[in-house]
This record gives sequence, structure tokens and C-alpha cells, in this order.
Amino acid sequence: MTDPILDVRNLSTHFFTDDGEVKAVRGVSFHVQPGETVGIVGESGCGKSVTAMSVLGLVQRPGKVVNGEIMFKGRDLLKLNKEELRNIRGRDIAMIFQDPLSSMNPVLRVGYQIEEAMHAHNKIADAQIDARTIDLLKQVRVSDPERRVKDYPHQFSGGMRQRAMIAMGLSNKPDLLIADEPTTALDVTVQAQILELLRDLNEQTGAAIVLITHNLGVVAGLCKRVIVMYAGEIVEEGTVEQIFESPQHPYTWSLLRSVPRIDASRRARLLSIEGLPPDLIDLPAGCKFNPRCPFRIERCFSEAPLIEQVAPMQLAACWVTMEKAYAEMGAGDITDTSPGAASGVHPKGRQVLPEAEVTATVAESVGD
Amino acid sequence: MATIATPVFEQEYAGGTVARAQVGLWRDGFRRLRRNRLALAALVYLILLFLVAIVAIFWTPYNPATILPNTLTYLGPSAGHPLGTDDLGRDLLSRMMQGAQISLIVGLGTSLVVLTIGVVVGLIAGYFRGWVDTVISVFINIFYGIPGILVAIVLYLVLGRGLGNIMLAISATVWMDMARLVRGQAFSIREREFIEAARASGAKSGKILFGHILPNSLGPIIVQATFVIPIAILTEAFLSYLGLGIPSPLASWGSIASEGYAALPLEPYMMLWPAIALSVTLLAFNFLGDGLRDAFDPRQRR
Repeated sequence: MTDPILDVRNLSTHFFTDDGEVKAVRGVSFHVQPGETVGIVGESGCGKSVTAMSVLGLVQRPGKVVNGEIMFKGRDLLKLNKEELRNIRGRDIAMIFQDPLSSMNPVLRVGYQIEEAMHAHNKIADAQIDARTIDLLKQVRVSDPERRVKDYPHQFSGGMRQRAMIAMGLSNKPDLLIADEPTTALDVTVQAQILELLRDLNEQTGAAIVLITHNLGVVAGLCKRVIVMYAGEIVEEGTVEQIFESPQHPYTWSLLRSVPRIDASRRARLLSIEGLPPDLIDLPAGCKFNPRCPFRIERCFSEAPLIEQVAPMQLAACWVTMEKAYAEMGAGDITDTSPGAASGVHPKGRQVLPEAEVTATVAESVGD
Repeated sequence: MATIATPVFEQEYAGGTVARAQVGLWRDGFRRLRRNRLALAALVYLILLFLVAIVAIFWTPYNPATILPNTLTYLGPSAGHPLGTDDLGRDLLSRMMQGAQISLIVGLGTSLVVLTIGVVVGLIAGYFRGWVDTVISVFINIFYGIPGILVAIVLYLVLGRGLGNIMLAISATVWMDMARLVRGQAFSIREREFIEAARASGAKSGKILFGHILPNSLGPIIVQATFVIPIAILTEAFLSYLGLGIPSPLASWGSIASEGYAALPLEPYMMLWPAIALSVTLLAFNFLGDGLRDAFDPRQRR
């Protein structure tokens, strides 16, 4: 295995607000290989974007990276000074944002903005910049690029603006492209085009792509590997097949059951995940998913599970991994996903069951 | 699917509307300005005044500084001297033309100085926030606290007399409004997503300040700069009236008025001309400024 291009180790980013310390990202570790496509999924507020911002050193007050290492090509980005970091942003690591309209300066021409990204770093020779701008727009399939470079962002359609943003991101031939919800603001047909474009560009340029999204369908279409985040932590990681076919964390399982599938039987109901993500200031003890988990057991309330290998290439952080849940609780047939339903730990509180009975349930379901 | 599609649609639509307002600003604004008759009349008058000032560089009926031989002092309007002559027998029309020149130079020059100071200070305060902003804001408030005329007089006496120094002295009394305006603009624009995107693409702070934030706040800045001009002209006239302004024999509307005041019972014309010129010019600049503000203020857009 080659050395990873990005290796994030034990990253924690907190926001020091007046209400308290918001622990937005806690102990996140993952790596990206050169040329790889990795998806980071999770619901809103789970720390996906904050993770990306931390990598680029763009976390602003009151936020602060409080712990960890971000190794990029052998250098710890957290130890670089401002100027060194600025030199990496946009040159070695580029970022694409969710809303292409608000991420372009409305009063500057599109071509000028793409050129500007190249002028900021001296990677592309000045003499080539004009021609490269047009080439880039061609590469991202904007028609009539010679004329289009003189347009303002509002004269572009939503999809074209995102293409222009991608062109801007690729302009300095980065090794890593972080795309933060690149298709969320676009309509469905345009989404598909943008994903196809990203896939092609990944093959052509060899730039690794980290795709941040809450849309599992988008991940399936582009990524080889998937990282699932919940409440600021990575709860599961694996290849796209593993995540979709044998999810090993109840959150991943619940997430998949909440997505409509064209091949599912008509009667299969879409299940929402009950409850809300935890308050990141005052986190529950034990597993952070325990208030919403249908499979929770007694241990989930007291001890937080560490992320461990559950299969080749696959990691999960759960005391009751789904494989065991499938075998022992019949997860495949579960229609009641209310908290604690499957394992008998009552939603209203553990005291409802007599203590002896609870212990017995735990012993049965977990084994050792 | 429908529940997903709807918000996306709204978002796009809302985004599109905002952008159009942003970019069409200039053309839109000038169209609105053209419909404002008062502002248009003011603009025409100011253009004429400019022409007079430019002509005065090359030609005036007489040399404005020369005491003409065989000429009566305090002469009323007459064939040889349409506006009359002053207390020393100098041609008033020539002196008024030179005064227009001085007024416009002081007005525009001060506006330019204020623009430079205000934009730089405001951008830095608004963009870097924190202790930088605190220091600058305290500084701005101190300047607001001291009477402007006092600052101008003291500073002008310290700097020494001269056209450049009078502009600096007046700037010291009016730069705070511009700095505050730009600071507020920078405060809000820095939070917009394209600034984050620029930062993510490795743009330097200077580039973000002057390449991204400044072009997006140009409208209100220009309006504010227009309002500085009449204030500067008035302050210069006031200083000259007190005898602290433009060194003689250079003529300023303020100094002509001052000389005319002494002869008011004898010859009211000498006081009348600069008073009319000042009033109309100040009015014109204010009308133009109001027109520009109405035309470029996004809150009043229909």
C-alpha cells in the first residue's frame, strides 16, 4: 500500500461559544490514498464540513483545532505557519463549496476569478494562464468557453457555475480536491452531470477527491470508500459495497433504511431515524448514538465503543455490531426502529426492566 | 422527491435574484439617476462649474491677483468688470473663477484623501476584527468626540499653510464616517461564502480585501465620497473666511466673502457673489449625493 496523501489522526475541533464548548469534531482519524475517491456522509451538523475546514486550516474563531495531526504529503498541516498553509490551499488541496452562486464573487467575471486562483500560486506560468482558463472550462464541459470567460456569475446557470468552481479548483492541478456538498444546491439532472464530471476528472487528472455529502446516492455514484460520521465522530468506515451491503453500525443501517430505493418492494416503508442528534455541548455518556439506536444494550449507556476493524477494510464503532444484530436479533426484519426496540432496552429508561432481566438480555445479545 | 426538489428550486431562484441586483447595480443605478431631475440638474450645473474651473487654468478676464491700475475699488457690475472689483481693485469675476478652481480642488482632493484613509482603515478594522478593530474604533470615536473645526484649525496651523495641507486638515475631521461605513461593509461581506472560497483557493489577505471586499462595497463608498465634497468646500470657505485658509493673493470664495463682509454697507455685491456660488454648489453636490444614494441604495430598490 502506498503512503496516504492525507492522513488525519485523532483530529478534534471545538467551538468555544458563549453557551459552552461545542465539540464539533472529536478524535476523527482517516486517510486518503493518492487518486482515491472517499465519501464522508452523515446528517447535518455531524462535523463533516468542520472536518474539511480543519484540513484546510479555515476554521475561524470561535472554533479551534484542539488536538490531532493532519499529515499531508508527510507534513503536518497544523504545524505550518499561515503563509505555508496559504500556499497549500488552492495549490495542493482545492475545495469546492455547496452553493456555487454564493461562492463566486458577483462583481467579477468568471474567467477573471479562475485566473485569479492561478495567479495566487506560481504553479502555472503567467503566459499559459489565459489559455489554461479556456482549456479548463472546456474540460469541465462549459460550451463556448472563449465567450463565457467574459460573463459574470449571474449569467451562468447553477450547473455551469458549479462547473466553473470545479475548473477553479482544478486550475492549479491539486493532489486533493475536497468537495463539500457539491451537488446539494443543484437539481437532480444537473447533479448527475456534475458527479459524472468529477468521476471523469478523477480518472484524467489523478486528483484524489474527498466528497462530503448527506446524500448516500451521491456517494454510491462516485466514491470507492465511505466514512460515516455521527455527532462529530467516525462511526463506520468501509468500501462502498461494504457500507451499502453489510453496514456494521446501527446508524449506517438506519441511514440506509431512510433512503428510497427504486428496487425495493412497494410495501417496504421508509424509516426515519427517531429523535435528534445529541447536543454537542453536553454529550451523552457512552455511545453517542444510544438515545436513537434500536439495538442499544446496557453497555452502550456507560462506555463509548472505539472504532475497530470488523471486516477487511471495514471499521465500525459499536458494541452490538450489525452482523451480530442480524444473526441474533433479526435486524433484516425489523420494522420497529424506535430506540431500544430490538434489544429490549426500554426507551423510557433502563429502570423499567428489572435489573436481573436486563443483564440477561445483554448477556444473550452480546455473547461474552 | 418533490420535498427535496422544492427547496433547491427556491434556493436557486433566491440566489439568482440577489446576483442580478448585485451585477446590474451600475446600469440600474444610472438609469434611476437619470430619472431624478433634481440630481440631473445638479450634475449639469457641476459640469459647468468644472468647465469654468478648467478655463480658469488658462484664461481669466484679468489676472486675479493683480491690482489693476486706474480702476476703482468696490466697483459694482459694469461693462469692463461684470461682477465688479474688490477692495483693492482686482477683477471679481477673475477671482470668482479662481475660487471655483480652489473649491473644486479642495472638495475633490479632500474626498480622495478621505476615500483612501477611510477605505484602508475601514477594511482593516472590518476584516481583521479583534483588537485591531477595537483600537481603530476607539480612535474613530475619539475623533468624533473632538469638534471638527477645532481639529482642522489646529492641524492646519501645525502643518502650515498651503492647498495640500488644507485638504489634509479637513480630511482629519471627516474621515471617520467613511471608515465606519467601510468597516461595516467589510464586516458583512467577509462572512459571505465567496470570501471563504477565495481563502480556500489560497488568496492573500490583501487580495481578499482589495480584490473581493472593496469591489462589492463600491456603491455606498462612492455615495459617501460625494457627500464629503460639499463638507470640504464649506469647511475650506469657512477657514478662509476666518483668514486661516488659502494664503493670499490666491482667491477663495471664503476669502472673497470675508473681504466683502467688511464692505457690506458700502458694496453688497462683493459678499453676494461668493455666497450665491457657495450655496448653489453645496446644494448641487448634496442633490447629486442624494440622487446617487437613492439610485444605489439596495434597500430602496423597487
